[in-house]
Amino acid sequence: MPTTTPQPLVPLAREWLLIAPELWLALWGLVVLLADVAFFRDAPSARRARFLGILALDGTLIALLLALARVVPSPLGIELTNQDYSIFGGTLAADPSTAWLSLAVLILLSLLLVLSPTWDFTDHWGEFFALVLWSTVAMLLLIAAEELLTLFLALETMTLCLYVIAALERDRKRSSEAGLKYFVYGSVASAFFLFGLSLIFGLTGTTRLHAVREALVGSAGSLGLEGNIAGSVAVLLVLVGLGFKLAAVPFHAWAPDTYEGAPAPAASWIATGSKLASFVAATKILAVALGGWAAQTGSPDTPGWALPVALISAASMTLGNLAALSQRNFKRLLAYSSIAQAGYVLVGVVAAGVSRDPARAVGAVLFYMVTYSFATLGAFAVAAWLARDLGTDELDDLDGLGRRRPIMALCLLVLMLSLIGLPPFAGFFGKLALFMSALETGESGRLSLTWLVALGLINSAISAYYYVRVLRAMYLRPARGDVGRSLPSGVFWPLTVGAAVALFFGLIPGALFEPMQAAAVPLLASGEDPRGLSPETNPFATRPTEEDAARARELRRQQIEQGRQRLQPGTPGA
Amino acid sequence: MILSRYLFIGILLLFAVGFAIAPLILVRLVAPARRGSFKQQTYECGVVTTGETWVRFRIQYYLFALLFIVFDIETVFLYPWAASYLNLGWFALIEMVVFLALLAVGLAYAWARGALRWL
Repeated sequence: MPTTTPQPLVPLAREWLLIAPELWLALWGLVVLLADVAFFRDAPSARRARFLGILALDGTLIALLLALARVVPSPLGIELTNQDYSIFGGTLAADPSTAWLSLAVLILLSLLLVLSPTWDFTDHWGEFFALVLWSTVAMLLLIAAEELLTLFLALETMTLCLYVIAALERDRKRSSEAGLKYFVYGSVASAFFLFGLSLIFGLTGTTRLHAVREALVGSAGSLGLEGNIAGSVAVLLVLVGLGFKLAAVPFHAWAPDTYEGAPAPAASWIATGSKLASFVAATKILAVALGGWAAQTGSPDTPGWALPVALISAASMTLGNLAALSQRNFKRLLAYSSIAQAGYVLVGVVAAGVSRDPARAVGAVLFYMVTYSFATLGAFAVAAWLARDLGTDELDDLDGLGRRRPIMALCLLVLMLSLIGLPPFAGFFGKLALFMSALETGESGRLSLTWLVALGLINSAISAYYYVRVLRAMYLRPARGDVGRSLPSGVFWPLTVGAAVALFFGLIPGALFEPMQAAAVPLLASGEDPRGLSPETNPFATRPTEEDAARARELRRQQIEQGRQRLQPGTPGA
Repeated sequence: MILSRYLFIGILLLFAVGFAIAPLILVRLVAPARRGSFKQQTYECGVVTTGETWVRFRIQYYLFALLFIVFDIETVFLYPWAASYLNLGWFALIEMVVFLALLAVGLAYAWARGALRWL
């Protein structure tokens, strides 16, 4: 990455260029939609799927090039350095974290677009591809969001698109059920989430993540939530909303039905892209904005969000893994597996809140989420393959795949081993980094969160059982019927790329760790840095934000003072 | 301190609720009440009520309603924009063109998919 500051263009033009991939994808969604109604209205469904899939993929590749211009020097002059930029009046970040993560999301999207047309599950192809593209725009904005309202809008846009594509397989009732359950749970969770955000705004007087952090932490250091009822309610409501998006226990009930009922490409996008973006958002809200409410400095067991999140993490790991043991449907198994995986990643989020080196924990979270997303997308490609050839996606349908399609079975083997977390695959190093970051959270290197890490290790062992069931079906059972009769290229690519990612970043983990660490630093950048926000260079910055922050700081200081006096009633002078 | 800033909203709320309730109370106090079976019937725009309350509406009504909302929202945005157009400059013009283009695309899509055909 270049270390020199790029030549500043006209600030406004630069801002538009920095979100060029997002704008382009949004526009391309319209192009795909209109191309469908203009040229393919009477074409057979499979043909429309093929043509529109290629059209959507073309647009995504161009967006990928535009996103690439943010990490490598190009004539556009918009490559990002480690310097911390925020654009559009401080609502969006333009730093290495957005640049690298948007690349990951766009590559995942390309694989999804290759996968989708292989299986003729709907006749609303224009709508499907347009909604997938728009949900991706929202994911990219969610990753970049630096302000609570922008974040909420991006989150809602993303899930709104996903609700619809989950229900797009109109011939099957299960698909409608999937969409409806996802929608009902999601809209209620969003209401809770928004209420929580409004309380945060009420307590701090600002919606900018870093200003919120400044207002909460102040000069006194982290105080946790001791005696802060409004703050506790806000955290609780925010956790409900985030817990739903991450499918963490106890907000997970929608996930198995939605994953099983929705067509595999739609379910895979809910399980990968949406989860990756949601985890970035959750990390930003919890570790950045609400960093002051994590726990008292240096002690993760004091009142704060660290403890409830640790409990959610423990419950997700345990329940996800135990429920996965008895699943017979492959997609349902993946759903419970993804609940359990969310539990592991939440260990890293807790660590990011209480660690003295949060960048390491966040780097681990990002590393894990990227490798998890590629592995899960590959596994869902297999589910789509089964559903296309056999009409079902039960675990038994995998029987004998090892003999019929040795290379594909080998790829799935790699993905399963990576999800278990065995070396030398990427999942192992992801888990290692997550658990190590959680162990090093205490004051002066004291071990803490040991119980959570121990639980994570036990759960990894449990999870091996059901992942190995997939392998047993492929290799030890005789082939039945037509499993894997033909190999569509749409299944080939996600599966092999997923396996290649798991293997490559398992052998050379540093190749992904370093960009993710580089991304974590600006993502967490300290509240003192006003993120290059100045009214002179930024035509959108009209509000006097410094005043707001100062007022909020003063308010918080008074609250802290009151809280202290309540804590020590006998202290003279209180 | 904070409450005083919301005082106007509170006054507005009181006024709005009062505006709705006052006529009802006034009617109770002033108007003579002579009840009868014909008068107690459900009011349906002056014509005789037919059928049950739980009738199904054609899904097409909803499509038309959705399209109506598109134009409704357009008007809501266009009025304040037009009122302060001279102060806003080129950027606002471009933004409004983008907004209208998006609405036009939406209408074109609905039209092409046959939402305007009454079956």
